[in-house]
Amino acid sequence: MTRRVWIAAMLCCAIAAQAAAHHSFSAEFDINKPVTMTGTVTMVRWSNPHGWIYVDVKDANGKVVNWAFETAAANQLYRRGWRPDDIPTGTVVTIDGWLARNGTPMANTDTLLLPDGRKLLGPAAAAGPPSP
Amino acid sequence: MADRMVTKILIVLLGATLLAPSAVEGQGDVQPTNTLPNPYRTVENYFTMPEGRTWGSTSAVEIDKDGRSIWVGERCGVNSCAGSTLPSILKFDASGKLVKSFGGGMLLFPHGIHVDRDGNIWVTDGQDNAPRPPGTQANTLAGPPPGATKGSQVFKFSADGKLLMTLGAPGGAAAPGYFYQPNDVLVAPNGNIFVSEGHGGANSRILKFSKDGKLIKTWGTKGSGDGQLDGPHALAMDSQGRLFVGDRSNNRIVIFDQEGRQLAVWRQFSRPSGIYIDKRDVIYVADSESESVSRNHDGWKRGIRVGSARDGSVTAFIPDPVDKATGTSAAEGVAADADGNIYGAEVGPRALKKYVRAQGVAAAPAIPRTPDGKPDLQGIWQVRNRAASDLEDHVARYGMPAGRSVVQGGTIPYQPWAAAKKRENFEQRATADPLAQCYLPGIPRIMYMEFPFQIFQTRDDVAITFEWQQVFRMIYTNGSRSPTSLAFWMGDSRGHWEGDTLTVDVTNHNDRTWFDMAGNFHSDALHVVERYTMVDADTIRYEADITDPRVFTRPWTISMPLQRQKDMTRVLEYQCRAEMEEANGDFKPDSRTWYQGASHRAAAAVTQQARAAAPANVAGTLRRMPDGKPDLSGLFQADAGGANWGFEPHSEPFTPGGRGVLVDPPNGGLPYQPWAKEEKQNRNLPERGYDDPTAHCFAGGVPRSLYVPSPFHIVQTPAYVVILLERMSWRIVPLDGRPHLPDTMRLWQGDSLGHWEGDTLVIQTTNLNGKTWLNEVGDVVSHAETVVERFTPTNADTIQYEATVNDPIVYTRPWTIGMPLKRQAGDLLEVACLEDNLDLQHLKDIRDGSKQ
Repeated sequence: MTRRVWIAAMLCCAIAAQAAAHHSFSAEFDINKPVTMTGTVTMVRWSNPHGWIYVDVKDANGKVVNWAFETAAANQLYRRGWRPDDIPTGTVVTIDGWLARNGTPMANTDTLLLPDGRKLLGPAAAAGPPSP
Repeated sequence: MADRMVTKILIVLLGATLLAPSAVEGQGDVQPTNTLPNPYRTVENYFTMPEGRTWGSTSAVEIDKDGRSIWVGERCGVNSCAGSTLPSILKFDASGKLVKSFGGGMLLFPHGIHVDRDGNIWVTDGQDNAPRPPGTQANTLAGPPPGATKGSQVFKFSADGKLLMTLGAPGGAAAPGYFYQPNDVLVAPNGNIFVSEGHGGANSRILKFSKDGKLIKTWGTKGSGDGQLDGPHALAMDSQGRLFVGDRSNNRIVIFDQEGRQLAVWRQFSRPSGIYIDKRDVIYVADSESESVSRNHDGWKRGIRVGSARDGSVTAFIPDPVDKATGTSAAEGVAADADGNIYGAEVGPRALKKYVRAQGVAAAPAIPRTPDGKPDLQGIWQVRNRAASDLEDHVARYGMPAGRSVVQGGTIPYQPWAAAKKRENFEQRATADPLAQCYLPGIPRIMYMEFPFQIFQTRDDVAITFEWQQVFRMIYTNGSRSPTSLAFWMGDSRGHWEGDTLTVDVTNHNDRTWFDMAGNFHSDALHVVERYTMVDADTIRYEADITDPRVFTRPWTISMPLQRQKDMTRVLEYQCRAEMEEANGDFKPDSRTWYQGASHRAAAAVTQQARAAAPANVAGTLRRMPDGKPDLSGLFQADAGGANWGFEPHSEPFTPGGRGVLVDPPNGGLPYQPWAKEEKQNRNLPERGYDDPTAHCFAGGVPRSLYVPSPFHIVQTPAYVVILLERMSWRIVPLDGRPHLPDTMRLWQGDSLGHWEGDTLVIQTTNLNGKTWLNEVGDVVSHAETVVERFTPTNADTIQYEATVNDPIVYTRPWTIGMPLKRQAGDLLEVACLEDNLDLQHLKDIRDGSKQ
C-alpha cells in the first residue's frame, strides 16, 4: 500500500491520464513515427468511441491529401466543453500525432492546435482524471 | 320528438319481443343491464362553489391532465348563462376546492368538455341566442332561427383560461364554417379534433378537423340506420384510438375509426348522454333519460354504467336514486379520475356528484404501487405482437411473421417522397436495416422488439435494461431537461407522471434508426412522446405519439400492451454483434480461455473468499436509502489509475500512464501462470490489437467495465443495484439472495449477486464466458474467472472500489485491484460504439498485413 501511494505521488504530475480509447493505440499507430502537419479541416466526425477530423494537407510535392486524425471520444470532448460545430470546415489546424501502421493517410492525434490557440487533445492525452 | 319516438318504440318492442336481432346493428335484442352490483358510495356536495353561488345545471365534466383535478362547465346557477357574466368553466382540485374559473360571458350553454394531451380545455357551447317564439320546433331546424349572434361554437382554452382557438362562427348555422348545437368535442392523440353536432336538430353528424382547425371530413346523417346518428351527445376515445359516439336518441353507442368507418354498435350501456373512457379502457356511460325524457327506452334504468371499452362488458351500475322522473335525471356528463373516482354532472338535479368505491368492494384491477404511490412498473416485460416486423398490417415475409397494425387508424401518414423512400427501404431491408448490423434500435423500436427487458424505478429515474445487445434506457424523472442538443441513437428521455401514467418525452434522435424491419423510418426531426399506463398488475398499455414534420403529414400514434414476463427471473444477454462476428468468423474462439460447454475442463470450483476487507473508514456523511443502506446511486467514473492500460505502474508516453492499482499481491505484479504470461506478451503485438473484444465494441466484462474511461450510472432500489455503463452495456445485481445461474450459463458480464456487509456492497460474479480481456495491454482472464467486488462509500461523492479476481486457469493465486469511484456532474450520454467504429478495420488490416 505504501509503495503504491508513493508511486502515485511520483507519477501524479506526469500522467497524461484517462483517454477515451477503446482499442490498443500501439496496435493501430506507431510510436516511432511522430508527425506534425498543418492543413484545412474538411470534415469533423463527431462520434464515439472516437471522433475523427479530416484535414487537407499539402505534401512535399504540393499535392493535397485528405488526412484522417483520430481524436478523443465525442462524449469526452463534450464533457470538456467542446461542441460539434466548434471546428468549422475551413479552419486551419496544426496536428501533432503518430502515423497509422496501415500506411493510409491517417494518424492518432496528440494535440490539435486551433488558430485561436485552443488545443483539442487526442485520445491518449484527452485529459485528466474524472472530476471532482 | 314525440312522433319519432313512437316509431322507435315499435322497433325496440319488436326487437325485444320477437327476439329478432338486427343484423346490421348487432345486439338488437340486448336485455336491460339494470341488475349489476353498485360498488360505489355517492358523495354529495363534495365540490364547494364560491360564496353566494349555487350549482346550476351541468353536463360537462372532465379530468385534468394531472389525473386528479376536475373541470366542469356550469350553467351559471340556472340552466343557461344567457345574460350572465359568471365564469362558467370551473376547475376544482381533488379535494373539491375551486381553484380556477374563467369564461364569464363567453358561453351560453356549456355542454361538452374535453382536456387534451397538452392540458388545454375544450368546451362546446350547445345553444344560441336567437329569439324563439313560443311553439318553435327547434328540433326540426337545420340551424337557428334568424337573429343568432352568439353560441353554437367550440372554444379551446389554455389551462389558465386564455382563449386559444374557436371553431365555428358565432351564432351557428347550417352552413359551412358553422355548427348548429355542437354537443361534444374530443382531441385525438395526434391532435385531430372531433366534434359531435346536433342536439335534436335536423343535423346529426361528426366533424373531423385537423389540429389547426381545418375541416377534414364529416360523417353521419340524422336517422337510426347504419351509419346514421340521432343526437350524438357524447364523444370518447379508447386506447386503440376508436371513437365512441353516444348516439343518444338511438339508445346506442356507435364505435368508429378515426376515418368514420363504423366498427361496432353497443346497446348494453343503455341510452348514452355521457361517455368517459379512462387510460385503462374502463368505460363509464351516463344515462339521464331512459324512462323519463325518453319513453322509447322503458325497461332500462337511468344511472352510470361501468364496464370495459375493450370487450364491451358491463360490470357495475350506479342507479339514479330518483325512481320515477319526467325529465332529465341523474348524470348527463361523466368522468373518472386516475384513482377510479367517478364524477357525474347533472342537468336536472343541478349538481356535480362524486362516487367513490365503497370499502371491501373489488376495485378496478389492482396495480402494484411504489411507496410514494406511483404505479410500480418494475419487473420483466415483453411485447407479444409483430410490430417488430412492421408497425402496419402486413403479410408474412421471410423473417417477418404476419401481423396486425399497431398504428392508430391503421396506416402511417407519410409524405409522398417519404412513402417512396419507405418502399425503397423495404426492398433493401436485408442490408439497409440498421439492425442487420446490430446497431442501436432507437425509440420506440427497442420497446417492441420481442426481446424481454427489465424496468427499475426510483423516485428520480426509470431505467430499462434490454436483453438485446445489452441496450439500456435511462429515463430521468427528476424534472430535468435534456442538457444537450447532441443527437443520439436512443434519444434523450425525460419522464414525468401524469396521474398514473408515466409520460416520457424522447428528443435528440438521430436519423439513422428505423421503426421496424419493413423500413418505416423518420428524420432527426423526430419527437416521440411515450405513455406507460398499468392496466393491471401484469399489463402496461404502451403508447407512443410520433411527430416528424419532415417525413409525415401529421402526428400518429402506436399503441400496444407490454406483458409481464412471468417465466423469467432475470434478463440474460443477446450480444447481437458478438454473435454475428463469431458466426461469420470475424471473432474467433480461444480454447484456452473461452467456455466451451459443460464437457470443457470444469472451472475449479472455488468458493472464493474475498480478501479480508479493512473496516470501512467512513469520514464524511453518506447518502442513505430509506432503509438505512448506503445510497450508491448516481453517475460515477473510476479514478482508474490507468488500469485500462495495465494494472502495474506504467508511464509510456504514447498510452495513458498508470499509477498501479494492484493492492494484492503486495509486490504489485500479477501472479501469472507461465502460459498466460506468454499470452499476455503476445497480445501486445500490433497484429493482436484486433483481438481485444472492446476494439469490436463488445461488452467489457467484469471488472473491466468499471475502469474503462467512461462513466456509469448506478440505479439502486431495495431489491437491485443496476449499473448502466455508458458504453451501452449493463450489470443487474439482485440483492435478494437468489442462487447463481447453473455453471453452463455463460455471459459477457457474468451473473452478479449482491449483498450488504455493513456499509459495503459486496458483489460476487460468476458464469463469465472468458471472452474478455482485462485491459488494452491484454491481461488475461478465462471462463474460470470469478470476481468479488466491494463498493464502500467513504463520503457522499466517493466509493472505494476493490475487485478480487480469482482465475486458477490463468493465475497462481487471487489478486486484488483498488481505486476510488468518483461522483460526476451531469447525465449519462450515449456511446454508440460499433455504429461508428472505424478503428476495427484498421486493426484488421494490420493483422492481415502481418500474416502476408
